[in-house]
Amino acid sequence: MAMLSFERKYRVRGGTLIGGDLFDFWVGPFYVGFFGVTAVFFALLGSLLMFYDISQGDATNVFAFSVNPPSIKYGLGLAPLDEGGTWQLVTMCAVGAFVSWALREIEICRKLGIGWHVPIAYSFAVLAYVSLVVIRPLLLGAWGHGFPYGIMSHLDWVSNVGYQFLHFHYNPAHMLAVTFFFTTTMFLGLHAGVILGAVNPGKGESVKYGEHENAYFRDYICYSVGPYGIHRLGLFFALNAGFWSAVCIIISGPFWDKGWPYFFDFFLKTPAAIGNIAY
Amino acid sequence: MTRKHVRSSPMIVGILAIVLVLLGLTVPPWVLPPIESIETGPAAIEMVQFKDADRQLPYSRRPEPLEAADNEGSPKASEVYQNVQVLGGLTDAEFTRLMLAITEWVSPEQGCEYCHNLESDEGFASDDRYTKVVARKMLEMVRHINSKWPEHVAPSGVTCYTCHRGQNIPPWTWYEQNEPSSDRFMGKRRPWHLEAKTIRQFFPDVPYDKYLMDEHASAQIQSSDPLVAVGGKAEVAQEQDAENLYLFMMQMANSMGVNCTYCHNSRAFRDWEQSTPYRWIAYWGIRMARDVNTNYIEPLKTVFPDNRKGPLGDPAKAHCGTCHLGNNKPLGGYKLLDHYLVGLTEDGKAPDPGPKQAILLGEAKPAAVTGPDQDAAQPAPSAAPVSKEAIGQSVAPGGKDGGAEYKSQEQPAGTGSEDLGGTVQPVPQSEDTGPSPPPTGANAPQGSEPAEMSPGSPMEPSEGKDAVEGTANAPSTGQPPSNPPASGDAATPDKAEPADKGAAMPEPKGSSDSQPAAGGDAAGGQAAPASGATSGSGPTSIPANKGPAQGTTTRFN
Amino acid sequence: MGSYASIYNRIQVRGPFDPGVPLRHSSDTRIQAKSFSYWLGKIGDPQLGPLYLGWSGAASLAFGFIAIEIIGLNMWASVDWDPYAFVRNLAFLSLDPPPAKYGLNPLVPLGDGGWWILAGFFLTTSILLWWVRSYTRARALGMGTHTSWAFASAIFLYLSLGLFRPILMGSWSEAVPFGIITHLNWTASVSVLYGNWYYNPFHMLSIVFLYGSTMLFAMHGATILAVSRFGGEREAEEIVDRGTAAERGALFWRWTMGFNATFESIHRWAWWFAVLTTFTGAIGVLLTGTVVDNWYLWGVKHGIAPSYPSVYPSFPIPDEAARSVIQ
Repeated sequence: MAMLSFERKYRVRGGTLIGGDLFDFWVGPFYVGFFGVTAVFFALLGSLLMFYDISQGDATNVFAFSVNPPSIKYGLGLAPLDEGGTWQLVTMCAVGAFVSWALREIEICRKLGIGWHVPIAYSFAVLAYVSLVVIRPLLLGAWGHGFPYGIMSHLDWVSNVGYQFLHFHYNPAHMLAVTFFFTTTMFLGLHAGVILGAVNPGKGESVKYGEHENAYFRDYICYSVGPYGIHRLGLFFALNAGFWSAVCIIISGPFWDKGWPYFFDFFLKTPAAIGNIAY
Repeated sequence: MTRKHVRSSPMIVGILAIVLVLLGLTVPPWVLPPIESIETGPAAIEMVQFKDADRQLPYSRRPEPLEAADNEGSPKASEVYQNVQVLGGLTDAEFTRLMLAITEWVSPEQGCEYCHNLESDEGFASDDRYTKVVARKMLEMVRHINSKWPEHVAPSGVTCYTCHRGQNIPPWTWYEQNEPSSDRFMGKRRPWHLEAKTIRQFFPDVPYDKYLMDEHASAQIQSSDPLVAVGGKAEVAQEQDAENLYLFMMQMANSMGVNCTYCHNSRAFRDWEQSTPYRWIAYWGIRMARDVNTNYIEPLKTVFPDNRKGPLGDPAKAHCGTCHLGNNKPLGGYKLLDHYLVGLTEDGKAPDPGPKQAILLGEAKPAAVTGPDQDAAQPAPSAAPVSKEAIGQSVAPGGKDGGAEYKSQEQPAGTGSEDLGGTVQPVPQSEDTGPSPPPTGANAPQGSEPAEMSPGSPMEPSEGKDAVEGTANAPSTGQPPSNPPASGDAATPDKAEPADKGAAMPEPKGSSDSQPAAGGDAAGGQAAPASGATSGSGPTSIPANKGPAQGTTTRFN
Repeated sequence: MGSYASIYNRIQVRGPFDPGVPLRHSSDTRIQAKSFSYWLGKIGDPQLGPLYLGWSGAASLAFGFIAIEIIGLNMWASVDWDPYAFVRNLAFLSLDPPPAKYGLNPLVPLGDGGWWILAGFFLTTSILLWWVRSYTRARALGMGTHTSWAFASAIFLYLSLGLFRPILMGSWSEAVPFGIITHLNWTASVSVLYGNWYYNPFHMLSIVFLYGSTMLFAMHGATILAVSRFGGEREAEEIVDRGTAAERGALFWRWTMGFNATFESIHRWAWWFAVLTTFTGAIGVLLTGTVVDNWYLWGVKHGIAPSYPSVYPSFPIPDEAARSVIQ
């Protein structure tokens, strides 16, 4: 049994969302549960389908492997397996696996008596994924608008989607999302740095705790958000990064069909243009 | 902190947040699904054009062509009028009809007097007004475009209306500008930045000057080697040049209502092997704009009065949007020119769609279409036969020296299908290429023409040899009809090419010096379009054939 | 207790102002600006201040102020000192580096990029002095300097973009302009200019670490909030003396994905992800144009570019274009 020294007392029954004691056990370090079984099922099936699809192509470099979505000519219907049908199945498996994973996390949270913050945070990541391969394709009327599952091919997709809107940096939601990503990373660096600095103060120094962490940031930038606040802030920014990423791709196409720079025509026509003598 | 403070400020902030969200949802011009999408590349990598089904384009009214002229017994215009320099070969009836049409297209409010000073002693012959001098040059330009730039303008060709749209000055033009510098805001004069009504106007015009004049910057900004040569410098362009090109391409795409992936696979912009055939059309379009700006518009610098000139004293020049105005085919491919072939072309023939067709042939139709505008008659698109070699080329495998190898295509790909439906109709336009409904409600006069390059009208293959039908001054057997077929009774005006078309102007056929201009050569010995007099369906027969026409391939070898 | 909120503090605890732990050197004095902020208290600690300024802080602020002034006044000048136009067009205003003709010459006419050099100098000095602060403040409290080195990684990216790469390329014009939209335009143009930035492996790594950092902070932040009912946010204490919060947090991940970090090691993961985001990004920037000219072709050379079916017949490339490609 791969158990930590303190683990045994935490391994209790119950807390499941469905199925009672069914699958309420551990395999090695993993908790199984009903949703563990479904997650493994979907993950395994999806992976095998991806391997199958890749085996039908002639790419030999792992970077060039790709499971491609169907052409948009199939609309919202099913495509033949070798023309994107596999991608559709893989997508179903992926969504199934991700949702199972989130539900399994909830079960574990219940078992441990802790908050549901992690599954909620995880669901934002799932939301971003679902936006890309389900919501936006539905709004645009074809599964073909999903992204291909491949290392370089998904980059090619991202590149083309960016240039579909001529200059994607002008997408206001993209601006927000990028800002949140960068800021989250900055917060992470600051937070990790100060914690490591407090408990690794160097030879001959005693370990420091909360008051030193507070003092450091107050001395440094006049404000310390506090040990609880930084995690709230980090989580909030990280979730916003995911959320606005989802927004920025959903509005690109279904709600805006031209280049993003030209979106700002309205700015020149709103009251911001007071004093614009031409109006 | 008072208690009141605690209670009110969250409410104020909450209300402000709600107001902001509502403003964000309502003020910007969001569109709503359904969105029409057209795939212009392989599945999976989202080379797709989007268009909101409800989007209305500016200036999209289509004028009704005028009644056909009765050329019977009509004398030549040069015999009736003085000082007819360009259109002297037309019959008086045809000439008058064209003048009326131009008035409707360009100066519907001012009428004839916009160009003609009728109070002068010379009357119509007077060249007093600068507008008349400009109009003459523009007539020459239109005739030149229609006869020498089939690569870009076939099959619909251009008329005065293509750019003017009922306005004295074409709505979308550009002027020269100073390079942006610290004392100017984006190269514009003050208070220009307070006057821009659209982002199109907001962006500087400098890139047009860089790429749409005869002396132009190179668009080859990327390196063709992956690595910098040892000890060498980077082989790429300057950062500022890249920005100019980016802006130029962005404005170009916007002016045609398409995006970058209409022509390019963005992962390798420079690679022709991964580009769509539309890039080929755009390539000639850019060269056509250079030709037009340099040889027809810029020389009018001395003619225009100051109030018609830009800040640096140049006349308003053309860019892609001048004709396109937001449409990938100006006016949706409305073939207005077919009714005015005699006056608005040099040889009386509609632009030869041969070269374009050879490029686009069959498979050039969009790979797939969703949306209501899909033409049901269009055969279901099928994946093009893909040869291993084609796949290989599409990723441009590294050559021996590590660089990529690019092979110019030497022979046409097998097309495998006779079906030529929907060749150049990538973004669905209204299927009706006829005039706007209001005038008469008549069906598109030429809508049934079998050779029309639009969806649902499959082209009839003709003998391969005829495909190279020329575009240049073929000897004409008679005056092609203005719109209904009529027997030729007047000589086709055989206007000499503008004299200023010297070495400075690239031969529109391509810059290959080793070639005889394909058009002139191939067409030289050919009869005038046979169908002009034989078929009621249209003045010319647009040849269709399999694979690039001979004349087309040779010119690029 | 009994009620805890994850998104904001419903109840704000206002203790007496915390003047901070004593500094090592008695000569160091803090500015005891005492203030509480209701809105900051909503998300975290309501106390603002005290602040330690010192010579490096004061100099950093002064230099930073000068840099912002240079940038702002140049932008304002570019709209002829029209305050309305300045506000309305702020996003589009820019202070550009000198054009390529000046190369690396530091003596460029002010109006032609000289101001950019000056602004860059002042801003860089300001940032470096701020870095000094991050170091000295940690030492003054007897803490490790991990924050400083994470900051240094970000500075390395900034300097790579604005100083190191221009020097390697031999021209200031390669640098990023100061401007909201113009720096975005620069980013887009550079991607096109050097083939395809997505094929830059260091850009790939940087994005992986950027997304990874965001994911890690979501995982870590959520875990700490979830175990905060057991006092989990007192991380240093839990690191030294593991309590049930740390145990539950660890077991959550162990049961979920078969692996767990500890309260200390998660911060090592986090630190490295954050540091590598900017560090790998900087490497990618420095290689571009100096070693690699076209990242897409670099990818093709190494066989990583996937192939897609041709959907169009091949067509002859226009002669002029073909010639320039072959050369």
